[in-house]
Amino acid sequence: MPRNEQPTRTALSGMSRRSFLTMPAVAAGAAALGLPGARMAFAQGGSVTAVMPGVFIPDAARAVITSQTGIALENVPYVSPTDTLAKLLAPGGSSRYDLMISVTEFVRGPVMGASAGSENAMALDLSKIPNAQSIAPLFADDIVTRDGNTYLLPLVWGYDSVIYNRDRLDEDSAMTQSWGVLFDDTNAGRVALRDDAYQSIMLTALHLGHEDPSAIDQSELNEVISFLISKKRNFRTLWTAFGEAVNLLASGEVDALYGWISMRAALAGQGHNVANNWPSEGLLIWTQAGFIPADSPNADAAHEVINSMLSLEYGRALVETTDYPTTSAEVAESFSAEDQTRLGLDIAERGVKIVPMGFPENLDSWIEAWGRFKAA
Amino acid sequence: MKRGRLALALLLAPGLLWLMAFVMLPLGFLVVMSFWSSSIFGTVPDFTLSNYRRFFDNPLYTELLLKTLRIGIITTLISAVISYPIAYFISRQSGWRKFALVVLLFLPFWTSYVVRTFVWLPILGRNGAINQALMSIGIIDQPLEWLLYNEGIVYLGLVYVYTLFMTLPIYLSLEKVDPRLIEAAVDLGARPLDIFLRILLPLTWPGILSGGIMVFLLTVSAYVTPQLLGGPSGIMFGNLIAAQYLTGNNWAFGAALSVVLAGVVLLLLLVTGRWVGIQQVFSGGRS
Repeated sequence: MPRNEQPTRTALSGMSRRSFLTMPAVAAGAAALGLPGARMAFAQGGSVTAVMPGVFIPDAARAVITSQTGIALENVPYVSPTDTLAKLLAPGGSSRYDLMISVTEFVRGPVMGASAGSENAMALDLSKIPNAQSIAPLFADDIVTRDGNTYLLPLVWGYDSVIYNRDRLDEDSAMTQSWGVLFDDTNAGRVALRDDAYQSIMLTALHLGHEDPSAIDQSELNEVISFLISKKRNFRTLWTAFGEAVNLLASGEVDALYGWISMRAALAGQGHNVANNWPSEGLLIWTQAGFIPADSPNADAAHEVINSMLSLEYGRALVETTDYPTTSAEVAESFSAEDQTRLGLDIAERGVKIVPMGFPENLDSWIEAWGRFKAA
Repeated sequence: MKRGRLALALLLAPGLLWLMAFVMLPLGFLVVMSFWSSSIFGTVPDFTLSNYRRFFDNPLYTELLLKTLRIGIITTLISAVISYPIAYFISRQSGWRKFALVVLLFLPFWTSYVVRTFVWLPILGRNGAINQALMSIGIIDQPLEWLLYNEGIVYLGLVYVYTLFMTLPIYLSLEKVDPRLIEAAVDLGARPLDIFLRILLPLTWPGILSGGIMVFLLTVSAYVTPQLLGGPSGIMFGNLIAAQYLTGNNWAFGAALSVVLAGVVLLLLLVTGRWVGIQQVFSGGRS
């Protein structure tokens, strides 16, 4: 899951030179074809300043947004959900940005505030987001509402699992299809975790049998850390960034690591024989929700961008480039059964145990415990 | 007299304003924030000692602080030992050769810190350049796994990325040494070690101290190098601070950790400064 995203391109430099140059041409072409979105685009245009993972706006997907809305999406560098909240809650933050997309469970509480009236996002006008109707039932719980108003919409989803080298690990082994592959002593020195308290403790707790890993108490957290310390020599390293993780597998430094599905796409694109496992203890799934900061100066344009991100065209472009699906049911249905299985778009039907990535109340303790693991 | 004072004040004003705006105010704000409280919902400007209490209650923080200081000191010493001969060699050259060597010294610094750290991964990795070379000439038949992801490699990475900050001040000090002093010492029968210990070292001590302070300060605040090269144990105090800001949204505790680090480093410089004559750094060796 791209919590701390690989280096993103910034604002105007967020577009490649080619996409920047072709953007007006794409919009003009779409308008010439008579696409309604394109006409609206030229009528309205403008720009939206967004805080969102750069991986959700590859050139192909950006071109769809541009052609459908005519809006220039300027994405500032994305660091993490924590940083996104810091940007939102900083003085003036609610009017500095027009759109934010981050991990739903992580931002839900702070964005909504403690009680009605303290929301840091504006209520969405769903009449301007007709594509919201296509959000799959699986993600209904991640549509965040209060008093009949909707504030956050899940836009992109994904799952975190073990990305492994199929030439080195037996795909049909029960161990490979478990989080245990990261702790199995036979793989000592050839696996890697992420240097992230939240994700690494979540998967370890799940492996140790906690049904809701985000709800473990302090003594259970201590047990998880003790287990991690006992297995420390198994970990070759703790990766920190997307490129580093991809390089670890591509170079043969490790055979398996905790990773994101976009890594699978990147490695497969480079010709590596990799796959992700379907952990028997449970697959960690997440959504990233879009919301409009309470005082956004370009709220109408932000609504348009959200609507575009839930369109079939954007969803297909995103899946084809990064393997990340949007929450639109139409997108999954537009792929063949074979592709759905390969990409994991059918996880609701394929019998995989699904564990939503909840948010731990005592994140501070998790960070401290993770420091203890690393210092041991 | 009055005009002289006014001119002096005007001359000093830009520098003082700069220091006030970009050093003292942020530092002061950091100290104030360290007494606030933070949660994932944001930072509340109240007054609490809980951040400092938490630091002293959990031995993790003092252990990592000591580890960081140890790494800082060792990195500084290694840098000095490596940099001095390099600086000496360059200072003894002349013309285009000296120019070329200084450019070569700067060359790695034209790329980013992260790239200079990351570059060790394909060199020292399991299938990296060194292992491939050793296996191809038959010295080893299995890759050497200890080449990467341990504390020794963290030292290598830190020394590499901060070498310039040690070499340059030493080089500049050596440049100021009158070569006739060394010639006279040789004529009088001094051995090379005596020349180094009794002439070069005292005269270049301000340069060594200046480089030492810079390398030490940069090292104790490092967090990218231990994270990238240190493997599962790659953690220093800077990583703890970064986690408070980037993961936990606990700015107040991050500020308290930063204040502790700054305070300990300042204390260390004051104590050791009296012993090594740190005032020479600021007086150009004249005191």
